[in-house]
Amino acid sequence: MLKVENLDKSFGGIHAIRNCSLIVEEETITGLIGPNGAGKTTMFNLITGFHEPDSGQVFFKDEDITDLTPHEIFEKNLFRTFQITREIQEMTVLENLMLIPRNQTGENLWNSWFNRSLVSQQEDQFKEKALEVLEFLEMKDRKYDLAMNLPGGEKKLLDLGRMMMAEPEMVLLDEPGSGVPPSLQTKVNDYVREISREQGITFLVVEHDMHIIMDLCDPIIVLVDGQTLTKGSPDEIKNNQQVIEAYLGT
Amino acid sequence: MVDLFVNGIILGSIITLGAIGVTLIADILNFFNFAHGDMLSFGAYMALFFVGVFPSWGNFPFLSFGPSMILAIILAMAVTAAFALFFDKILFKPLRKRGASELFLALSSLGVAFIFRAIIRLVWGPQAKYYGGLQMARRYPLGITIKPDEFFIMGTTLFLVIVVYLFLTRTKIGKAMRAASDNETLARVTGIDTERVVNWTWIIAVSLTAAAGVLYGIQVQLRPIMGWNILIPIFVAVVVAGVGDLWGAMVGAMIIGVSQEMLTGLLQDMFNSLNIDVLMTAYKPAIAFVLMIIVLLFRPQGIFGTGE
Repeated sequence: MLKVENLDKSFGGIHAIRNCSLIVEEETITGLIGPNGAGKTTMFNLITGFHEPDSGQVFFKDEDITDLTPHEIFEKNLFRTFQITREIQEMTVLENLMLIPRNQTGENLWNSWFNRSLVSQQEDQFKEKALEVLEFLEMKDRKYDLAMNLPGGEKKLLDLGRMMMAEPEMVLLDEPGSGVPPSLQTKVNDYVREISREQGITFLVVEHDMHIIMDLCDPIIVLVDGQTLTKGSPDEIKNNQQVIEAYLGT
Repeated sequence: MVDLFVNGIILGSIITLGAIGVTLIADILNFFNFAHGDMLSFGAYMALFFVGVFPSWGNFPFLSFGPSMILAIILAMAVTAAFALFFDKILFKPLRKRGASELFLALSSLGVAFIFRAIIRLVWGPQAKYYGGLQMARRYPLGITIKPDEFFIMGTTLFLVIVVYLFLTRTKIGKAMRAASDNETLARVTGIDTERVVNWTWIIAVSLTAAAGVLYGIQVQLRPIMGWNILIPIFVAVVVAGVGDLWGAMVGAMIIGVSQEMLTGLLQDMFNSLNIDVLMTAYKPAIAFVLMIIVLLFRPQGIFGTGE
């Protein structure tokens, strides 16, 4: 599904990603772990077009997406979330979600002014879908709140809501557990598993909470100093001496 | 007094159209466009060109111009916006790609301002120009004297502000512009083409300023320096209101317009009664700056700014 080949990226004197390669198989929930500064978020930024690699290539469904812009990569059905939550602050929760679906008829200026019924009809569908998403996330009573007024945990849920609205083929999830209440975290994990199984969506998950990673992901890729150290099942990773040393810094 | 207030609203109307453009560019492209004033002048002169090209179809009742002026305004807005897109393509876009700071973008826009002014001087010369005949002001109750053209100026401003408001709030492109100004990173990752947003920002901002130029030309006269002179109150209106708020820009512009007219009028009366020979109209920009300093001292983010 996703293939990263010999990717390299430096920022000034810092060599963040070193000739790194990795493969994410279709319909898996793959974990990406590593100590702080291992290059996990840089890897996400390179895959999704936020950074240009110094060398190497990124393939998504066998198509080279290395030079595409973030919005073009979104159009290819590859979605990402962020470690630090982001939201369109001055729009309501509902508007934040309704902005996501692709190919909206309202993007055409002619339709916006002169074909309002078509636009309204589609917006009603998106609204219905957004309300279902909010229902699932237990945030329905927040629909008309400005996103800027949400507490941190609910902003994280809004991130997941966006993912659900985008209906992507692959998702890069950056720390989905941070700030989410434990009761809801279980529900989110179950949801990720469910849509991966039923809809065939592939996930690449960065998470510091090892319980979440071990519970949710298989296989797991370990990144250390901008390079892939190893890849394996949760049990293999848990017992891998190199991984333990990398985390303990010995 | 009421007469000065009305004059302030008329001046505020012209400043409004410029201020909305400046605030959109500052909010979405992250720099203060110093070329905005000269784009305003360019729009005014382009309308002069088109008015000269079209046949005379007579004047509207009470107004000093006819249908050809409406057509000229629309074409002037389109041509000026096309020039702005051209400069974005050859100058601002490459700078953005290189990660140029707000300061460099603003300084580059100063260069663009000089180019626009040079074109105007080369083509039309430095002397004042007029769209048509001069119009006499009419007297209304409460001592208000106003030219019928000035009703057109206020009406056109209101119309354009409503159209832009509807565009930003009701259309998907408008919502994309709001999203990009709010959180560009998130906008990009959720499929919003930020370069398209940038193009629309230029089109809307510069079309409005071109229209403001024509309205200013109808009210006063056309001079190559006209836009540069009105740029200061436009910038002050944006700073006073706080960057990024359409209605704020309008209110800020009205505050500046009304304050400039009323304070200079009142001070002129005071100096006249004291037999002091001062021409207060020359100090209008100073009044704008004093207002800006007062607002910034007490509310640095502007009246409507959120402080982020």
